[in-house]
Amino acid sequence: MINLLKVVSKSSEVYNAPIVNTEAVKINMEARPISPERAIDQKLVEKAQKGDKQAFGILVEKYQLKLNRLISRMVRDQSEIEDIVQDSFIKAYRAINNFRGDSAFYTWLYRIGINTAKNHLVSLGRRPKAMDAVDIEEIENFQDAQDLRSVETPETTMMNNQITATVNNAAESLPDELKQAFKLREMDGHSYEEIAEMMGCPIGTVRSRIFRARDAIAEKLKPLIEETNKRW
Amino acid sequence: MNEKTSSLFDNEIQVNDIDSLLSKKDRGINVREAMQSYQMISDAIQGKRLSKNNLTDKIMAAIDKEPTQLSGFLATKESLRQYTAPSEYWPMAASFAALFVIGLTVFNGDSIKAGNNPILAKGDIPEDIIIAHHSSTSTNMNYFIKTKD
Repeated sequence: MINLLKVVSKSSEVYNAPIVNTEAVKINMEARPISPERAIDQKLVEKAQKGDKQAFGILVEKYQLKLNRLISRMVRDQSEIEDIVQDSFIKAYRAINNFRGDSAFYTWLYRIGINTAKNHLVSLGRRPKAMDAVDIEEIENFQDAQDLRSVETPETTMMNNQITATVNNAAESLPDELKQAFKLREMDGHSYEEIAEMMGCPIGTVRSRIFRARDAIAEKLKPLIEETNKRW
Repeated sequence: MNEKTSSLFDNEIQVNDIDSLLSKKDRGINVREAMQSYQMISDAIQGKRLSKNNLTDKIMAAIDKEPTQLSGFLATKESLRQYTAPSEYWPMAASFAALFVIGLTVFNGDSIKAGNNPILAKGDIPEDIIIAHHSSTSTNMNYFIKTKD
């Protein structure tokens, strides 16, 4: 039996939270293994619910760009987008104890983000676009909206180009086994298990090689990043 | 940066390793900084536009001002057990309570009547005083016989 319960948050937003039979949910969840990403997010949410704000910070770092891209489909101004993203995460933190794990964390966050953006537009007298039919995957890959609206100066463009060149050069100069593992992950998107099978080595070795590759590249990027931070 | 952070970035970290990853104070900030660096490297390698903002820091500064959330739906039984686990001081407190009860019982119990709890004074009074007392006692038997007056 599923009942709809309207949960009113501090900011008087209304989130329709379906309340389901928890035993049935547990049984279903046991039958269908959840993805590693969802299990990781769930663990971070559990820690946040126990008072660990750093765990919530990891979720913010993980999803703020995705949410940024999502909101940019509805709002043009970058500073407004950032305000909406910030408000969305604050609302998510305030409502974190209501998160039951029935859906993926990002799906829940996505709903909060959409509602926050809609309310923002309504408060400014603007009509929000219908977002019901939006495909989340389409939004995740949709960078053009930001590319068109972003204001890049010649200086930042030059800095970006330098960073890109440094990363590519550093990757090319990696030892072969590190380079192969790193590129299979970053460019082809293979899982550690798949890379382990392709390279004929344990998953732990793959994990170590990818980390060492990133570490080596980051070391070469360090001076440039420090310079960039001063300018951006 | 460490291997676990790299695995977390790829969603390949073991769930059990997340606790140790965030165990030290301010470890979360280091993990976030590392993830930002990995994101930049990833975007550069994939030929994407580099997106750099300090939005996470702004958001976390706002979150730090929020009251800490506790005991959500997904809080485990283990964590609840931690909050209700017996204190290490309970045995000590129980001992004091027992002593108090015993003391109270003894104090409020039957008063000490002469003859019920004979006090053995021999051990308390010095030997020479006892001898002096005995020597001063009358040897006349009649001294000890009570007569009617």
